[in-house]
Amino acid sequence: MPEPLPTPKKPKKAPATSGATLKPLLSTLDDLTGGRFEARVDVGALSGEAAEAGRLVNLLMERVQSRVADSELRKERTQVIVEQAIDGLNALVRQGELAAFQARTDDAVLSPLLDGFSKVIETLRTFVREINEAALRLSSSANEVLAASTQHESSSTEQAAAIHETTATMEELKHASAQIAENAGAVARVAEETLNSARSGRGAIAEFIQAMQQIRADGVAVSESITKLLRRVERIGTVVEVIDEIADRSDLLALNAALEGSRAGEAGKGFSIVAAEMRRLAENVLDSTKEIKNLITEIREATAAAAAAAEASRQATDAGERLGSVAASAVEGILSGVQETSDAARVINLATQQQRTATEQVVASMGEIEEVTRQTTQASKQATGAAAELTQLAGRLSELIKRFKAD
Amino acid sequence: MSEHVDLVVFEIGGLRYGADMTQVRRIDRLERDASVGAPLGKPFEGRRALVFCPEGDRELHLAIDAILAVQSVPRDDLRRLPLAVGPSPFIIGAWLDRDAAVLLVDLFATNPFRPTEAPNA
Amino acid sequence: MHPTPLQRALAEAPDKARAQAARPDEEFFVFKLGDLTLAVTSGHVREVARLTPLTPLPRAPSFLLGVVGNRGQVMPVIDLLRFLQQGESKVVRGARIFVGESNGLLVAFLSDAVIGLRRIFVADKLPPPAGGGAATEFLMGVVQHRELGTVSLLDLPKVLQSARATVVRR
Repeated sequence: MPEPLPTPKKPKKAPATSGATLKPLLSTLDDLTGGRFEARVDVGALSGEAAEAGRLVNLLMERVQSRVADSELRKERTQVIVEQAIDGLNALVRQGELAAFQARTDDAVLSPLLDGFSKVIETLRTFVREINEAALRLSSSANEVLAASTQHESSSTEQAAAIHETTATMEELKHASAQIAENAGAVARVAEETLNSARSGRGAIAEFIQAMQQIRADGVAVSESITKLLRRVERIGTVVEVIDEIADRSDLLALNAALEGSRAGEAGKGFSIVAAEMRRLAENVLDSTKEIKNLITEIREATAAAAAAAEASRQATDAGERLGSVAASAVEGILSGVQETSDAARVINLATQQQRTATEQVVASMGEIEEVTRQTTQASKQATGAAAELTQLAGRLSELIKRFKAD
Repeated sequence: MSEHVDLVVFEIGGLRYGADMTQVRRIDRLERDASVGAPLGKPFEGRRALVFCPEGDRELHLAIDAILAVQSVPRDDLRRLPLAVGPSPFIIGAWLDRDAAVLLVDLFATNPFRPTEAPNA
Repeated sequence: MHPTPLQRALAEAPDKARAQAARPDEEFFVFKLGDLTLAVTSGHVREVARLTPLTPLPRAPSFLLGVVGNRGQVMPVIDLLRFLQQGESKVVRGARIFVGESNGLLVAFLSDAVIGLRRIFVADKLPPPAGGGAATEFLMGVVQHRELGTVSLLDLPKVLQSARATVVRR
């Protein structure tokens, strides 16, 4: 509010005027000093110098009033700008709104101030933008770190599990190789026994083959004997045929002699008796040869059976010999196989012993690795916790920064 | 009279027969249905024929299986057939070839046994 | 002293063999053919021989098996089983044949086996059984022989005569 102008001229006018005629001037001055600045001197009521004075007072008041109005206008304008600035600051403070600050003025006095403000706001805006960006990056990095850390943690856990498993497996392997060593030992023992059995089997087979050869030789001898026997029997058969023929002829002769004797009547009686006797003899011979023939047939059948048996025996011994040689080669194969098995079992036994030692070392190493891994897991758990916290913080920062709207 | 007789010895159905060589004109391949019949029994194959001419130049054929021999036979080995045998008119005797009796055939006498020839006979 | 049975027997024993002539007999040639045992009087049998290769005769009756050469003679061979209509004999090479003779006819007969000469009491002869079929007319009778069982006595001359008649009739 501009200070009302002082009225230093009032005392000067008073002496120049008479009391009565100066009255309108004075009352106006009174009003004016009383603060009623719209009051004007009634110049018509005055005359002379007083009127002049009054006109001057009025003029002055007009001018003052004009100046006051001017000043009021300027004051109002400034007020608007300042209020705008205050509103912008308020928005900045309350809502973090930086973009809203748009104060401009032609006021030479205010202008630098507003420019300063603007510059500060602009700087702030740049800060906010950068911080926002950084916060975003931080958040994403923190997320990445968290993810990586989590990944690491789970990997580490898995690794620990794997190592644990491996250790268990190695333990099993240790037991297994112990078992193998034991089995290999057993195999070696069995192989040794088998070796001994196969050696005695080889001897037995050799004896068997020898026996078979002997049997075959015997069989050949038997066959030859049978053939010889058969030839003799055939010869006997031929002889018997001859005897048969002779007996048959004798029979005929005797018959005819009997007939002759019969024709001779009483004189031929003795002849007939002899003939009858002859016939009886011939018949006896025929009976005997029949028996011999039967016997020969039987012998033939028997020798044929014997020959067949000999042939069967020969085939059987051949088969026996073949089987024997097959068995012999099989036993040879078994022997070499068993020898190899025995050697292999020993090698396996040795190898498994070595493997057991190695496995034990591996198990020990695995224990150490497990411990390290456990620690790693612990550390990665902590890292994950920290990363989670960091992520949280980055989030919070982002939240905070979001309150400042730079654009 | 000669001590020997020449015989044509032939075979029909596995049996031997003899015929006087002078009765046989020739031996030929048998033409279809040319035989006088089978008075001595059916031949197995009958591919050969004894050709003979009982009267004039008319040739007759007897189907036989094979000619076995043309043989000179001593008269003492020839026999008339016993009465009990009652031989067919064309079986005139036997030649005793050791123990075996070979029947002797009068080829000309076989002629009437041909059915188509019967009316002429 | 009673005599022993032996003493009694010796007292009654003959001085020589009892006369056979008391019972007249005839000698027969006995042979087997199929299931039959046949006999012919020995006087009609000239010879026993073995069957040599048989030459069949064309158009001959079935009982006339053919001819054989026997001791330089051509001889017809008859199968009595076929002739008597009692079946058929098997013709086996080397089988026994016998040569029958009657009225100048010589005929060989097949036989399965020759038993030999046997004397048969005339009184033992029985007439041939009635209803014996075609065979009966050629039988002189039958005999129950102790050793040989039923023996049929064949009338060989009749057989030969009939056979010849049959053959010649054809």
